[in-house]
Amino acid sequence: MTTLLSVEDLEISIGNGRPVRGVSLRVGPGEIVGVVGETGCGKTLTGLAVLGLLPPGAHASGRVVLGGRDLLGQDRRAIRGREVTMVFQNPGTAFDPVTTIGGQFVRVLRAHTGCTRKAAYARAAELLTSVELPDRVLNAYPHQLSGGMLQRCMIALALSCEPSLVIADEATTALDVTVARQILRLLLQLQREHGFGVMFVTHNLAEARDICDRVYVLYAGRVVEEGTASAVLDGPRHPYTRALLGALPRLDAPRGRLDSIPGSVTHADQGCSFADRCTDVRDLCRTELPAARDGVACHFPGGAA
Amino acid sequence: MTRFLLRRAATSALVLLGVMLATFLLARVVPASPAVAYIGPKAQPADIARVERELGLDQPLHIQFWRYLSDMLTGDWGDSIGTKQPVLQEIGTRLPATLELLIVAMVVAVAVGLVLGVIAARRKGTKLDHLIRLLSIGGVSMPAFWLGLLLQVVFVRALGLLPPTGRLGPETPFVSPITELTGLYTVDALLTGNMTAFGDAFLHILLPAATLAAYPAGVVARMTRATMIETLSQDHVRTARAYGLAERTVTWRIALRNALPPVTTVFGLTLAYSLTGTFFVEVVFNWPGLGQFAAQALLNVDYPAIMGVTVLGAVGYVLVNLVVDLIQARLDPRVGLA
Repeated sequence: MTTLLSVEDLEISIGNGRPVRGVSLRVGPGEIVGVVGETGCGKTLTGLAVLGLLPPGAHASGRVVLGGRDLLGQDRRAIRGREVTMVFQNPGTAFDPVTTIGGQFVRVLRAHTGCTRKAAYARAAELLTSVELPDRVLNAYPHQLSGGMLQRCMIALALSCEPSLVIADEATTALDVTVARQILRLLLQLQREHGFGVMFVTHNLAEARDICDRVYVLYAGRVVEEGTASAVLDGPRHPYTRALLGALPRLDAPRGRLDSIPGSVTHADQGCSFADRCTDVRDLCRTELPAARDGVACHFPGGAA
Repeated sequence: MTRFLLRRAATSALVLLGVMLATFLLARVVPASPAVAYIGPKAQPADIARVERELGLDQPLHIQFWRYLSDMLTGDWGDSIGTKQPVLQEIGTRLPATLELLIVAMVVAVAVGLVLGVIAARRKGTKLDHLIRLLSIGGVSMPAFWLGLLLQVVFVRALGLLPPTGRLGPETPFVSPITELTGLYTVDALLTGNMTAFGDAFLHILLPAATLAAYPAGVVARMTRATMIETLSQDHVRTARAYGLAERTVTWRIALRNALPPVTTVFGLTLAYSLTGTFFVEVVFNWPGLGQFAAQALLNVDYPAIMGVTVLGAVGYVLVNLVVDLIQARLDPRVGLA
């Protein structure tokens, strides 16, 4: 299997904190790979590290290999927007508020292709058509458009230079459910047409199950489970994945009960980070960090056996 | 747009009416009688009564005000007590000098303030940032008359690099006289290709303009730094970076563009301060403009002159703020003209 992006043993430290502690993942060409986990587990930072957009003061080590080149520590400006693009979480704030949508497309297109302003506008109109938006959106300012329209614009912008990898960082989180569905369908459809790989960062397991080929479950800066979307999400082996799935609200469940995982993400210095919140915790879990075996990092996968 | 302008014109007229009423009342409340100032220190009671009758000072206040108002509107701003010339004419001959000084100073202030503010924001926390902060605090807190004297001591007395005072050197009007078109010497000299006079006028305006620019430059630099730091951390700036735009474009074309509206607002506010600043600067640099005229008028209790300059200042301030609001709406599409 060929590899488009491979992240190997990525560690990110910010000050004294180490929010990402050795994440390894792989995205094949044209593959949709989910990176799931709750807030604070390091999924967004992992995505930003690929583009070299970590916040000031953050330090990354390990390897980020794209198309055979190790990117970490390199200037990645030339590949941003051209080979790898990102669709952000909040479409409402992700666009420059004082520039028209068209102006923002032109800026990006001209930075990468050096084409004329007129050609860039024509290309921008074409891109908007591909995300089912009318040309007049080009002359609109971001505050005049809805979140769904803006996210379509974002996707169109992401595709402007035919990237090989699109990182979708919680791309549907800020949208309401029906709009989120439309955006997902659009992303899938465009992915089939253009064949780019997708790193789909989300906390929404239902979405991950629907569109991903494979998923990585992150907890406290480590991959705790990986595998095909159906294997992981239909037959979870790590207790964290099970708990996450259990926390999904279900229409067929008895009324009045909503499950959650007690506590919040903590980084253990010793042993398994999930130990404090795990229902099947044993003594071994508190002293020894479980290594990944068969795609699951747990001493006792599959629950109390 | 038209509705906005009409409404603004109406409110501006009200503001000006208020200013005129205030200056009018002030002139009537102050114990020194204008008639005494008019005649001189040795005035006899009979003369004072006669002049008061001539100037209409024996009429009831509201009639005096009505007369004052209609005179002002018809272009009769009274005669200066000091020079015995019509105030409007006095203002007309001095306005270009002040305008030239103000325009040059404000252009310098905005350019320097923006550049320093952007650099400070980009280098937040470094020595350069601290140095710029020190400079801008200095610019804001240093009194204009003192800064002007300081600059004169350094650049004129000690280094001998620049001419001391005035708008031109003593020989220039004879050697290469300026043909007055706009009354702004630097502009006129450039337009007529008179490079000798341009050089002279340019050297003369450097120090007074720098003195006048210090305060607004400091304010603009501080405001730019603060808003730039905020905009540089916004989501859309991260988007721009994520799409491969050069850091230069991100800083100057996107972040600075987004930081401009608040900077424009504070700059508009400092303009009023700078208008008063010209009083000191023109006196210190012997600059033959309105400020110097007003300063003399104040010392001579020259009411018509004081009132004329005050009303003119108010008109200028109202106009500037109208322009600032229009620019604001241009700069930020989310701001409506209402």
